[in-house]
Amino acid sequence: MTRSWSFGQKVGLGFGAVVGLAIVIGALGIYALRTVTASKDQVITTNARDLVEARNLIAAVERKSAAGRGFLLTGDDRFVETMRAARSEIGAAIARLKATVNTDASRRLVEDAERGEAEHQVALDRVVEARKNTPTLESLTRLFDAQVLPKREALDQTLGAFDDREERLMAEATRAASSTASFTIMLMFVIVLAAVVLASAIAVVLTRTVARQIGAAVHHVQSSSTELQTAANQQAAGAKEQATGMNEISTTISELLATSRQIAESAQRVAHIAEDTAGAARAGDQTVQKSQESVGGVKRQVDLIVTHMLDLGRKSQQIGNILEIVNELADQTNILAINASIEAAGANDAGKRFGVVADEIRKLADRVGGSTKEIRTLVDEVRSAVNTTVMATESGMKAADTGIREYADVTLSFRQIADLVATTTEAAREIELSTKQQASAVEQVNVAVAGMARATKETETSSRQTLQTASQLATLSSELTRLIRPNGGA
Amino acid sequence: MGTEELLVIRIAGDPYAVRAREMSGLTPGGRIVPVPGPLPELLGITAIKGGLVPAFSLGALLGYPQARELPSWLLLCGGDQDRVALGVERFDRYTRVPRADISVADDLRDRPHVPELARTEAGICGVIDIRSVLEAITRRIAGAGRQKE
Repeated sequence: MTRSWSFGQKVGLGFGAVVGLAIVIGALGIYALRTVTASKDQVITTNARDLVEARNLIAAVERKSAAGRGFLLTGDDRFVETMRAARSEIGAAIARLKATVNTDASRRLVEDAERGEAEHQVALDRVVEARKNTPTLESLTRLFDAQVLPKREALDQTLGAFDDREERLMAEATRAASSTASFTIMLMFVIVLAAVVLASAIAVVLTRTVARQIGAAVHHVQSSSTELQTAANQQAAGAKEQATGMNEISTTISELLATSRQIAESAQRVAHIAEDTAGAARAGDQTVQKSQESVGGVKRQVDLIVTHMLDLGRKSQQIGNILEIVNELADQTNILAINASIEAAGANDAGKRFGVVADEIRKLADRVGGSTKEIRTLVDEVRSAVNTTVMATESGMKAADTGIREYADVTLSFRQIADLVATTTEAAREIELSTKQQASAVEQVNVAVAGMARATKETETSSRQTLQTASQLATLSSELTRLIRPNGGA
Repeated sequence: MGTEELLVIRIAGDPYAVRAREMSGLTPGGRIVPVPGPLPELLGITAIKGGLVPAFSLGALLGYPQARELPSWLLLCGGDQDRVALGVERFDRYTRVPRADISVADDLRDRPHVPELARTEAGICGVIDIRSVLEAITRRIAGAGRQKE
């Protein structure tokens, strides 16, 4: 699993490592300094003190011995007091040495010194008593040499050994402290050198890592700035087209507003016209009702005419029937006359006079036949005229009926027109109201579009600024690339 | 010169005339009962003036094709014993023309029984020789009888 470290984390980690190294170096330095200090303190506080206490002990022994000899020589009691004070110092020194020495050999030497000093004091006390009882110096000298001096030599030897030992211990402790200090200095040098190497390695790794990371980020920034430039260009072009479109929309909305107002005025006029039309429709309805009544009267008159004409037709039919009889009679007369003429022609001269009569009869029959034909023609014309008239009147009746029905339809249509005109009036008013509302809405839309146009212009301006910023960002990324990669290109 | 009385008729739309003196009468065409006979021109028999009279198609006798309709008029020829009815489609008029207006028909030699032409009020028409027609009927009836025997 690869963890992605941020720039700050890496820098922080580097500084943390360096600070850690500094802390380690500081801790080691403190530890070494404390070690050296402890060594020196050991030398100063223990060895030097023990050596000083040993010298003090030797000096106190010397003062006690000098006080003893002084008393032996003078017999003055002040020397006894001095001797006692020196002995107190000796006891105190031995007590301190017992508390401070830390080796068995030194402790045995202190105990030997304490025992030797006690034996010396016992010997010295016997000599002091002797001094009080034996006033001669010679006897005192012998006694002193025999009893005190060996004890003194043994004590001096013990104290000398202790002093030598303490001095040797002090020299050894001093060498050990110097050695510790030298080791500490060497160790600190090595640690500092290692810390410098490690810090340099961390610096190099951190520099390379951060440079690579910053380079990648700068590359991304350059790529992004290029895309941002492209997007800003497109956005600027789009904003420009949008601004043009918004201007066109604004113009169109203005025209729409004018049209809406015209529609509202037209709707108002339509409402007035519809009211006038409703009045005209009501008047037309009344007129149609009157016309319907008039047409009803015409229909009744036409019914009467048809009745009379049908009567005339029937009578013409009767005349035709009678005329058929007359014509038949004339034909028969004609045939009889023709036959009479034939008979007269067959009789030659005998039938000539009969033939003349038959001829006259035939002519009369022809005339009757011609007259009946004319009458038939006239009757036929009359019947045809009657039929035409009847048909025309029937057509007129049908037309009148149709007219009445159409008048009814017209009346209904006028009423429907009146209703529809009322509806139209209402609709025209609603259209007027709606158109006014529409005009108000269009005005609001126009205001909104104007705001959008301003926003579009601002967007265009912002796009240009974005483009400029993207260009500056590209320049900055190039400069940053040059900063982190002086020899490499971006 | 004198005059000639003619009955102007039409056969298949063509105007013809017959002499009144060769006729015995004119009657509208009534009911004609078909009867079997040797002549295809025989239409049948009809009742005229209380007697049965054979009715012939004058057009067929003149060589016209047989008409589908029955004749509207019947021309009566012959005496009481040998009366014959000749059926025609239409009778136009009874007229009288000068004999000078009647001439020999050179143009109608292919049409039998029409030897003359007459100029009438309705125009020129062929004058049918009724006597020739009756003789032809008689000859054919006789020929048919001999042929039958």
